[in-house]
Amino acid sequence: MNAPLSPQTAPAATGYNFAYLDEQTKRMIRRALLKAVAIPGHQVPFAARDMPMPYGWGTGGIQVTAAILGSGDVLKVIDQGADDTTNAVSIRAFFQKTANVAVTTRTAEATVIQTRHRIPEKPLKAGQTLVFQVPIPEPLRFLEPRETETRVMHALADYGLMHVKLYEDIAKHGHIAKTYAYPVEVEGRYVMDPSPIPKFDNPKLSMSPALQLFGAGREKRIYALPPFTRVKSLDFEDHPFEPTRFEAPCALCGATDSYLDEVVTDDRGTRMFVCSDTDHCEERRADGHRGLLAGDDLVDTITREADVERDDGAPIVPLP
Amino acid sequence: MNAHSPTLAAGFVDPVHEAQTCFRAVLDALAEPGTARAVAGITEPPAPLSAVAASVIATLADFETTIWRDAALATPAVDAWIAFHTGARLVEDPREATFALIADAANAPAWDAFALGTDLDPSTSTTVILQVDGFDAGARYHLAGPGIETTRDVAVAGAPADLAARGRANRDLFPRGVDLVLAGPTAIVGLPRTTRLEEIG
Amino acid sequence: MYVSVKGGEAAIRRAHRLLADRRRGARDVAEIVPDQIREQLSLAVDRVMNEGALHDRDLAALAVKQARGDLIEAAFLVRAYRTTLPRFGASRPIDTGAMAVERRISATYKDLPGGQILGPTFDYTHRLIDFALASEGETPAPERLDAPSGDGPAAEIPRVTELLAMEGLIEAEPESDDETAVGDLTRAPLRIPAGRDLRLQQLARGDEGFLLALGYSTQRGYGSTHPFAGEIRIGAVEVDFEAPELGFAVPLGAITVSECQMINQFAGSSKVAPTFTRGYGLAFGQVERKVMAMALVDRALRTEELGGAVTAPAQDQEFVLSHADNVQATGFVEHLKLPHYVDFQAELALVRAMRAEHEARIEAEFLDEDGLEEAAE
Repeated sequence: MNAPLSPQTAPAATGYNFAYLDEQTKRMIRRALLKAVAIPGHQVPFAARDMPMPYGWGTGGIQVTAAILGSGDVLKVIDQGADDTTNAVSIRAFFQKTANVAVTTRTAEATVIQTRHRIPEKPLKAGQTLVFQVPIPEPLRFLEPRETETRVMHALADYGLMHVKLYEDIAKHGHIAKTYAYPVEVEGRYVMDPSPIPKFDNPKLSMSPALQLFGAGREKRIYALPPFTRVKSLDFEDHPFEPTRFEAPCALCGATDSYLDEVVTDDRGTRMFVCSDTDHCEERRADGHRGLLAGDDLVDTITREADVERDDGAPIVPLP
Repeated sequence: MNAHSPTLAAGFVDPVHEAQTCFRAVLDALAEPGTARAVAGITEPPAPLSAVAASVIATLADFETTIWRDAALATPAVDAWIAFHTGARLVEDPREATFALIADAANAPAWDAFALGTDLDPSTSTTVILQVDGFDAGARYHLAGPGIETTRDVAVAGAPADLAARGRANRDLFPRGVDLVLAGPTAIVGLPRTTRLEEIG
Repeated sequence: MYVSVKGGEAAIRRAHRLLADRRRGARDVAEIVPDQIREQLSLAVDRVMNEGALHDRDLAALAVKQARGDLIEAAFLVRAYRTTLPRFGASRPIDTGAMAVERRISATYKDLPGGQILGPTFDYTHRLIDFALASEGETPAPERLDAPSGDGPAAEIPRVTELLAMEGLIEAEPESDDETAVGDLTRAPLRIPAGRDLRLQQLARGDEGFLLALGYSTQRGYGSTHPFAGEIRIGAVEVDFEAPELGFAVPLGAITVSECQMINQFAGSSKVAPTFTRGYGLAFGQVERKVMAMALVDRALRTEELGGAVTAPAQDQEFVLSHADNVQATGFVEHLKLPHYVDFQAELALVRAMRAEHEARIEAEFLDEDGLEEAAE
């Protein structure tokens, strides 16, 4: 569903302000965003509002998107890399309704991309803004639950606790046992939670031409990475950071460099691996790339399984 | 409020969309230091407040913020305009300012006269909106830091003569420090506290 | 396409239709109207107003209907609506001393000026299901006893804490301070340590069950405060709003509130004579359990300022204030049902890799030792 890209001028149909938030709230968020950009990786407190969707479901990202969105923007919303996951569909519909904004599934066409848990595979360009939904913005939270303590650690750049934890992992498991929300150091100063993206995506954070904004609604924090900011995944000389690699290519498009979802295809545990970034996979297939299992039969099967809702027009039967 | 200022100059015509456009210019200016970002919207604020500086302050300030303005801007007309279009509280102590508006760049106070934030809360520092003559001529600076892939050069006419030295002193305070928005005649340039600034003539 | 975008949209649309159907229930039963909820499920309405942080009985009743009786969901609906309302300012502090009291009890004095007024309480009802309520039939109106003062305005009923204060036996009430603005945790992010104004705000909108459990924990020794229910009063109070441009207060109307003043364990030192201390609870409507629990937790949260050591959960500001909000809590707990397959895939890959390494290590150890001998055992 690639909507036309022409600027939308018709007023939003809801009776709410453009992009839902009132102007005073937008100004408050905008001020926080400017300070976040000026102090890369630092969590700026902001007075997050109660939103009409649940905390933990992207209220921080939604508030950031609402504060930056203009009528000329083209919005893409993904969850787990896909445009069609229900929460991504719901958030996209929210902005269509309240801001009448153009939407797209194409990474390249979007000016603002709101995401949960992934960074698109297609390299982002200058002028694009990536808005991350963040559940727990504090990278030290699982080592020290008290914010009164972790704030001091950030103020002193005292990240010894984090290094000890990562090293304990190596001693115990032979690995840093962190596969997502893998902590990063920003410009040699702040340790930052990159949101629960897989560590596969961590290298994309660094020196990106796009602006990256992070919103945590329930925890009331905003932080940012300006374009071309140096972001380093924490590691040790003898245990360098290694992004996750996949053994097999995508079964549909044959990509060997993308993050894959494991799809269980029968009750005997048969599995296939397909791109988590649905736009990336579709574009590759449109360009003629084919994976091992890209036969039309299989694609149809998966489509039917995923689209669980029957569309036979049967009336909904009331409870007896 | 309009009643006792019958000649009060207008603000944004379409506040929602003009403020959004102006905000994105400020966001991009601070995210990519040294790039000039066009700002339009407010056309005829009371002198010596410039149209660009007026648009920026109308976009960002409200009753939850405070504004310090320099002596050149401390006129009844400017004060009335700020009060009406932002609702922000004017303060005389620069340390209490969320925003500072400076028209007389040559006599700008040292940056550390403003709120610098704390190590715990570095975001509570002042954002300084400094009116300058433009970005086509004047002293040239070599910039580096977040938002700049390698280095970026920028010319600023009408900035304080010691802009580079001020930038170094400000940067030494990191993560504390002020953030600068240079307001030219039609565009802004952002110099956040992270930007390294070297004068090259 | 691998999964069609339309599928998700259609699924959501149909799920919402099904939800509306289930909310309605069997069509041969009359549909409930919000007025019935407001009048007959009024304690649910009160709870929703408190946790939704908005005093609007009609809106709360409608939210209860829309939420199918899920009170946290109803509070969430009210909160999201509240966000969109303009904020004109703060009312004058209400005067519960001037309350038109409907219920007033004290556990600290057998009799006292103003008397003990039971009011509409579940106390002393035998909790026997009243099967008569399942059938039609009008409830008789309550008996009315003429107040001794006749038709005139009810005399103010003194607060128990005021009686103690006359003897200096209880810590002074904090001075009211018109200069400093009362904090508003919806306009500025909560910072710990928080002032008592913000703490009480968070407790007033906090989850009743959470406060109940915390208050209970203090009674069981986790931060004991030796509480006495000095006074609980429920009734209507006037709300006045002072508009800056008018320069005088305008009455907005009367609301029902519940107030609990707990009298707690004394504090003192070699220099300061011992006095009892206060814990305070106040909330919209008839919410006695809520304000009692709130008063216990308020007092527990004052442990540090009263010179005590913070050792128990109810005394821990950051723990209590960060977890009291059930709209936040339910969102984050329930977000676990959103897809996490990207992160789970990353964990799967790691666990598989570590298991493979573990197998290899065991095998290597097995070969290092005398494998045959061990295998024979």
